[in-house]
Amino acid sequence: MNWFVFSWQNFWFAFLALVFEGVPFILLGSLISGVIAAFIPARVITGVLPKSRFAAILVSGLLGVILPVCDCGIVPIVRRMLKKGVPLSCGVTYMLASPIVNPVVIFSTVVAYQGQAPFLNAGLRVGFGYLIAVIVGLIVGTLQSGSILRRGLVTPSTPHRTAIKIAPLPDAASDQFGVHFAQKILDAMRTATDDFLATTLYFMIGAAVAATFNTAVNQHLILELASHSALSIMAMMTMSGILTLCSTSDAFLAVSFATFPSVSRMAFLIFGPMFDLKLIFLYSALFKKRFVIVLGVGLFLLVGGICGIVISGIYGSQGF
Amino acid sequence: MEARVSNILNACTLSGLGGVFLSFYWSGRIDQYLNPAFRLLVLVSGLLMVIIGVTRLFNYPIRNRCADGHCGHQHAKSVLWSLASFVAVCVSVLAGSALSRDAFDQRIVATRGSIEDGKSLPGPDVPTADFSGNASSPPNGSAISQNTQPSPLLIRPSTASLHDSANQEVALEVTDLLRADEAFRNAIAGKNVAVVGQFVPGSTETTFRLTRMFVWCCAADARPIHVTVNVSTPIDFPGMQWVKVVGKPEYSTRNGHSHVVVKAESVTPVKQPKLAMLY
Repeated sequence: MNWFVFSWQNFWFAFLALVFEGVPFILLGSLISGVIAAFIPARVITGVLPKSRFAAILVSGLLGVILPVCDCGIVPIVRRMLKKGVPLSCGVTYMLASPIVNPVVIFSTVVAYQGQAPFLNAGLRVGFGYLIAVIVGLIVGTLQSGSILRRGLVTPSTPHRTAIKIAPLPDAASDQFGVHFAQKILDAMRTATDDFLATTLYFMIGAAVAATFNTAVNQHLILELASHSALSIMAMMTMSGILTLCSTSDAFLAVSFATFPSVSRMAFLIFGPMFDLKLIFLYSALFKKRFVIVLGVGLFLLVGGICGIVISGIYGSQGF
Repeated sequence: MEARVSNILNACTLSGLGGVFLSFYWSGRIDQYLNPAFRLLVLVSGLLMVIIGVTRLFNYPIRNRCADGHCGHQHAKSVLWSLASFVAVCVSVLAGSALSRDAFDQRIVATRGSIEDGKSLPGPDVPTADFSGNASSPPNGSAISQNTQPSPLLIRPSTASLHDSANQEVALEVTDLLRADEAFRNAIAGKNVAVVGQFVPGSTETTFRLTRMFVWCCAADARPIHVTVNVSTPIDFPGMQWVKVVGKPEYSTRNGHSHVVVKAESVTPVKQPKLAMLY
């Protein structure tokens, strides 16, 4: 059995499908980013977050409820938030949590699990997705932003600012230019399109890689691991990384893997929106490559560990 | 000068990408790629990209920086980066639109496997309301499509167009056969059904898999689903050829999983239906 069967026809079909699915959300995220850049002063953005670093991270993980953005559209928004002075730890927490902790995803998960304890499954997904994002945010908070962010991406006005310290930035939007509404609209549009192009470049590379693996890797080899509990969790996380699904509808596909244990399907639903082949390249638009790799490995171990120990225990107590 | 050239390239990238989106939407090609719930986003984003691209082309910015004062966008200042963006974003999608056949070939069945258990599909089972306690009345495709209530994100195409009233065949989709519950199976027992799908060779010369692609979100996550078809004499079609099978379905249970085989009376090649994907 060949593990890799490439076909150009399948590649182009899957590549375009990923583009049509993802680009509208990147555009949406970029437009939000442009509006934030032109119209919302930095002091307002940083003012929303509590002064306590721990509380700020907790609140950041919940921002997806009021600003729901999926994994494709999140990068330009996070980049803009960082430029506005939001601490990197809070940005990373929001980036990881938002594709899960948002009303659209909660609704679709409940619908997908109809007849299979929908509220328990949606609750586990949202609860542990949030928890994992907060844990990663706290870890990032101990690091220097210079070791994580791409060089020159965010020009900190306060060089001493660390990933966790909340320091006010000069309010460039209102102080420097763009005082007229029409001018601000043009500024917002231009910033949005620059963000869009910068992000889409990486997305296209990610979509091409994802389409290759998505169509060419023999998924039988992964699906055969269903009977082994620990391996099935890793197999489903690997599968979610390859399939590069949208978090708004991945629950429907997860349910279809009926031969896999509930806990491994939950690992699929938590890991996929946080990290997949396409996101490796999207995150590279913002972070250094080394951090992206460490983030991926760390999330794989963290999600796998929590699913294998905690969530499997919860499912066991509920008779699953 | 470099910034001005970059601006032109960036405007072309946006307009070109938007143009491809619009052409797929207006030509209907998008139907093969996306769940209906996401298609409108392609139209809206395509329009926005074209408008913004054209606006940008004629509104060359004097300031070479972002709205919040410091710009880290390399492609806004460098022709090389703008060119890279143009190639990666616009040219790749244009190439894809020219080369894509809007369908998978048979190798996707080999790499993704194929589902034949209706419990693995999302959405409700075929409704029993019309047929329970009334097994003698023949069900029809229209009734099925009208009474099946898909979940908000999953909209199935109507099966009404497949209904052949002259021959009293029950026009069904592959999904209908896979999801059929006990009452529905009783209702169609002994009756001929007509099912359209793609030909995938089976393990013997007298069996094949009548296959459809089931899409959850976009074609990238599509999975093949199939019913097994038995024929009396060996037949051979090209892989993924669209065929219409008329025959009687027979259900059995193996290892707790439902299994359906259609004993075919006829297998005829047909044109690809308008909605090739099932949702």
